Amino acid sequence: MRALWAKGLLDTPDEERFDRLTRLARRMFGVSIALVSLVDEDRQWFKSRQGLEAPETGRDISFCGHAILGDHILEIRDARADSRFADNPLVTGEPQIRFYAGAPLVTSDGYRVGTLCLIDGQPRQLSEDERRSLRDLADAVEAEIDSTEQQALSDALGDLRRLGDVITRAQSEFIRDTEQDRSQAFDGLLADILELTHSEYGFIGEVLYNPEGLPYLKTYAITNIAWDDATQAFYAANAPRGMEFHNLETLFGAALTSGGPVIANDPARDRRSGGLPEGHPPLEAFLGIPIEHGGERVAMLGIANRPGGYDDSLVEFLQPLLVTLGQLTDAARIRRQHRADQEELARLSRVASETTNGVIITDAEGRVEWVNDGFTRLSGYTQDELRGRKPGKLLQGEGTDPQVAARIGAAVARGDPFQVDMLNYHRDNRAYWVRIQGNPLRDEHGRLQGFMAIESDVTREKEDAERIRESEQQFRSLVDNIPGITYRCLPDDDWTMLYMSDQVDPLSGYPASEFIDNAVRSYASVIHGDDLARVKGAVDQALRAGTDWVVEYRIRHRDGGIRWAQERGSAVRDDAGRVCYLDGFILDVTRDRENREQRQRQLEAFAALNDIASMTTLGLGEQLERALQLGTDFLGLELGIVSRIRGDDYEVHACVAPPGTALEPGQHFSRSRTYCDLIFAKGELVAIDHMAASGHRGHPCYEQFGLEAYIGVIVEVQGERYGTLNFSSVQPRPVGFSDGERMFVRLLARWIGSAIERDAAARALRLSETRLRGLFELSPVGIALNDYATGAFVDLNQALLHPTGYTREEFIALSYWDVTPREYEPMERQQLERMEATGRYGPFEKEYIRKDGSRYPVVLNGMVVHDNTGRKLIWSIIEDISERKRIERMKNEFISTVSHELRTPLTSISGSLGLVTGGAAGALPERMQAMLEIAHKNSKRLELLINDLLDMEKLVAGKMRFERREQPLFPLLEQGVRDNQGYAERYQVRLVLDAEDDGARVVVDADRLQQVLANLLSNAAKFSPEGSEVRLAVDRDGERVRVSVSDHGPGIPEAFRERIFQKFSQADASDSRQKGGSGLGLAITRELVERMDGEVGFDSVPDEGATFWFELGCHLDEARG
Amino acid sequence: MAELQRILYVEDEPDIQAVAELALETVGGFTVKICASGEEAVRDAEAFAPDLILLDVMMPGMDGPSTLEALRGIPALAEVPVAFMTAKVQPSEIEHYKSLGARDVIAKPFDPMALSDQVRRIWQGAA
Repeated sequence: MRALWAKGLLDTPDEERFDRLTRLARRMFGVSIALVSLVDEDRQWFKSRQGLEAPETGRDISFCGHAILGDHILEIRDARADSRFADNPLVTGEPQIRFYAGAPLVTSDGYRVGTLCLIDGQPRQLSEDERRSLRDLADAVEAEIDSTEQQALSDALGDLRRLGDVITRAQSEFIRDTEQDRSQAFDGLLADILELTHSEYGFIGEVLYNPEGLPYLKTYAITNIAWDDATQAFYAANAPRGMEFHNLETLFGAALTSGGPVIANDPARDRRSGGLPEGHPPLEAFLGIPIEHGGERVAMLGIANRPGGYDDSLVEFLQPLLVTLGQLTDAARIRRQHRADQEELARLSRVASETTNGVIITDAEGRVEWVNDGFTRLSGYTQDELRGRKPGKLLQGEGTDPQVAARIGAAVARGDPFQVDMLNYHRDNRAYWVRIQGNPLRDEHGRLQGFMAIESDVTREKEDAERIRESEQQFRSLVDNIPGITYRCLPDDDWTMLYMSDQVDPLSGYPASEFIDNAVRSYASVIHGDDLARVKGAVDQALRAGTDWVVEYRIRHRDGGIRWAQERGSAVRDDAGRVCYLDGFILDVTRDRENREQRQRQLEAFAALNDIASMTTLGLGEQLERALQLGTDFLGLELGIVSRIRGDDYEVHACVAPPGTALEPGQHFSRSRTYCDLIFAKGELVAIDHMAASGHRGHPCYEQFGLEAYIGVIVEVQGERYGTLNFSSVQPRPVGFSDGERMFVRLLARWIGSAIERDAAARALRLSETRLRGLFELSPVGIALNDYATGAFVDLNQALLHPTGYTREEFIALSYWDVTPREYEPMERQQLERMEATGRYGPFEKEYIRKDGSRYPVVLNGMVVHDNTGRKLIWSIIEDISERKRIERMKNEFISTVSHELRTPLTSISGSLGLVTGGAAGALPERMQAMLEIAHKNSKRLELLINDLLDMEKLVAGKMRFERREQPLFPLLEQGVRDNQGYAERYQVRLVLDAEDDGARVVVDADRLQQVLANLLSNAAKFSPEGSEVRLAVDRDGERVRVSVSDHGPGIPEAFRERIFQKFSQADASDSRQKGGSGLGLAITRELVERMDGEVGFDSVPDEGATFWFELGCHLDEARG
Repeated sequence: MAELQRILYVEDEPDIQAVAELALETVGGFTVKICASGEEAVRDAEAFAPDLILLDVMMPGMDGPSTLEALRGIPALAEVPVAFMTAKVQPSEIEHYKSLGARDVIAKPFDPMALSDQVRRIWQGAA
């Protein structure tokens, strides 16, 4: 059977080459039937038949089935007589077979495939010749079969080769595929397949799925079977991009859904067919093969109109191609997916980089997968913070509309796109409006993969919209509430009303009907006479100019009062430009006008108050009086009072009243008998329009004074209740106190409070100024105020002026340098620098030049101050110290004189005692000798004391001469120790030079340095305990050398340290004298050291000793250095 | 009334001690005890039982006035007349010393030859 199939014989059309042989056989043997029968597994099929209609019979009843089992001809002479066939339906029934002779047909490769058989209705026996002839004919059939086999083989090989070519071409086409020739690749493939299968038309398509999960077809290639212009246009438009076929009620639909090949060789009657549109080319056979790849249905091949229809063998034959097609389709969609992914990526990154909008991608459950920087900017959250979380949880807050959030949730659940505006919350809790456009992301099967949302900040837009809405609302309510009158009137003098709205009633007191057609009165008649001309003028001018008019005027109301109207109008003209009507709108602006006027009056009143305040020549009383006058005018009340209230005492501080009223400042009342009692009780403004009609008619004040109208408020000064401001009248107020008036009274009270405060402060200031001025003028010390910048005198007192000999005017006109000797300039500069740095200068001494050119000494100090304008000034205290200087000089002169006078007799005493005790006058008794030595020793001491005094005086007066020269220091120190050792021994103290000569040289007067050393060493010895040492040490630090003298005495008491170097100072000047001495030693020491450009000092710990030192400049001995 | 015999002299300066001792003993014929400090005087005075005490004012340690106060605290000496010897003899200063309980003030420098008579007059004024 396989052999038959392979040879392409079974079920093939009739062929003349076989029919020729069967015709010949029938004629040759004179039988009714000759057949070439091919035996299948279960049937015999007649490749060629003569004399028989049936194309095939079952194998079980076939004679040939028997015939092919043997190698020789099977001859049945009479089937009825043969037990194998006697009951065969072909024998018992039509065609009434009696005779059968079948020669087996064997292929060249040895398969028995069927027979050449002869059948007749009469029993018969073949002769040997006939049998040989039958065999020959059978051989001829076998030859034909073999030739068929050869042909089929060659055909099959050709087909296979072509199939291989097709596959190879398709693959290579695909491999070098670029986007534009991919369709060409599939087009070529389709063409190849059509040729290969002898089909007329067909398609190759990809299987896709719609969102409902149903498959549909998108063609890669399709034969153009357009049958009219419309289908041609449709083909041209869609074929290149792929046509989509969604209708499953078709043959290809059946293939898509069933999953197996659909072979329809009679489509018109196939129930799976959906029918064809009108004009569609005839469909005679159809083969649809779904193509699977990787377990998925990926593509479909559809071909049509193969001659002879389609069969499974073709399907099998095409299998390799289908596999390839599956691969290619899959590759194509992977490539497409890849491209789409890349495009998506590119698009996203473009969006991300170019947009300021936020972009967020979530998975199908709505959890964040990715956000861009814009989203982070918008929300404050980074990708890391958001990833894996549901954005709503983080971003929505209390102000977020839950319905909007629910809408998003529902859309996400359904996988629908959505767009919403919603309030989100920034990470820092700031709310912002976003517009979110969400779109589902799907994979190629249409399955929901997630969402991508673009978020833009629409906060501004929302706010604007909100504002617009608000302002619209405001506008609407404004319009609704405008009490306007609309009208149309004739342009005549009466403004004859043709129409007028009823709102004219409240404005004029008359109904509109009375104005219309001037029924009772004209509108012009209610306009205030003083305004009428102006109104007419304004309207006329507007009519001439062709503009609208806006004019304000007064209406005389029926109640006798005045109302203010504002009218806006315009002309209505005919085609010729003539004015037909006046149309307009009238507003009652009375309240507006009154407010404006009141504000104006108030402003004027306050301006007047300011004027009063700025009149510095006015006293407080006058200011208050004028303010009260303003108040009475403003309020229309004739009585105004500023009261001072202490406890129950009510004192009139200031008042205005009509002439003849018995009211004046200084008058006292009992507070409880004034209306101000009410204010104090209430703590705020009290205004009563008509007392008799109010609840206060029983108030004692009303009974006493009969005041009907009253307004009053507390006046506070420095936060304390000072009294009241009140206005009143014996007349009641026709209209109540307005808010403006109340406010005016409050403000006036505040102004008065501050005026009183200012006045009190000014008084205090004046008082303090007076006191200071007194101090300044009477001060015995000179005081001057100078301008910092110019040095000019701003003020100065008599004490400064007096010693100069100048008058004030003369002195002020002087420059600073006119009174300051030039030699003080460096010192002045030094002090000036100090003042600039610290704001203070002095005290320092200098001289002033008098008017007569003589000089006197002063000591100055001062500080920088600023006046209230910020000007920088210098206060200076200048003390005339002439007297002090004179006394000092006298004292010094006295000391000098006395000392000299003392020295003269002392010289004699000392001399003569020296002689006597020295034995010059002969030996003396022992006691006398002792007495004289006491006398001599003490006269010497006296000499020393007087020398100290003289030295001091010389130093102070600058009379001491110094002969300084550079010399080594060390020898001087050695000499000092040597010279004073004897003195120290008297106190049983040893002097030690605790130093080495390092070659330091100093510039000194050697004698004066010895004097310094003597002072320090003798002092130290004098205060040292017996048996101790006094150390003389030297420390050099660069160019300074310090010589110090240390003892182990009691140290320097704390209290004495400050004045230890002062003249005539001793640690204890009380009755308990410690040690003898003039108290000048250290003072002289300091003077001497300082005159040699050194300095002195000491360090001391009480009870542990003292170290006195002096420092001098030095340099090293060159030779030694 | 007894004769002035025993004088306690308190003075820190040895030279003056020597001069005064000579003046009082040799010229005046008194019995003189010299103390070099107030402390020494307070310690030795009662034993010496002086008729009159002379006190230097300026001394290291206890000065004249504080020595006086201390001596007054000794009952046996409470009534013994005291005179200060000082160079500070401005009238106001003398007043001050007297207010402290001193009988009189002897000005320094004193006249050694007249000192005994002066002391005797002071003592007699006290008696």
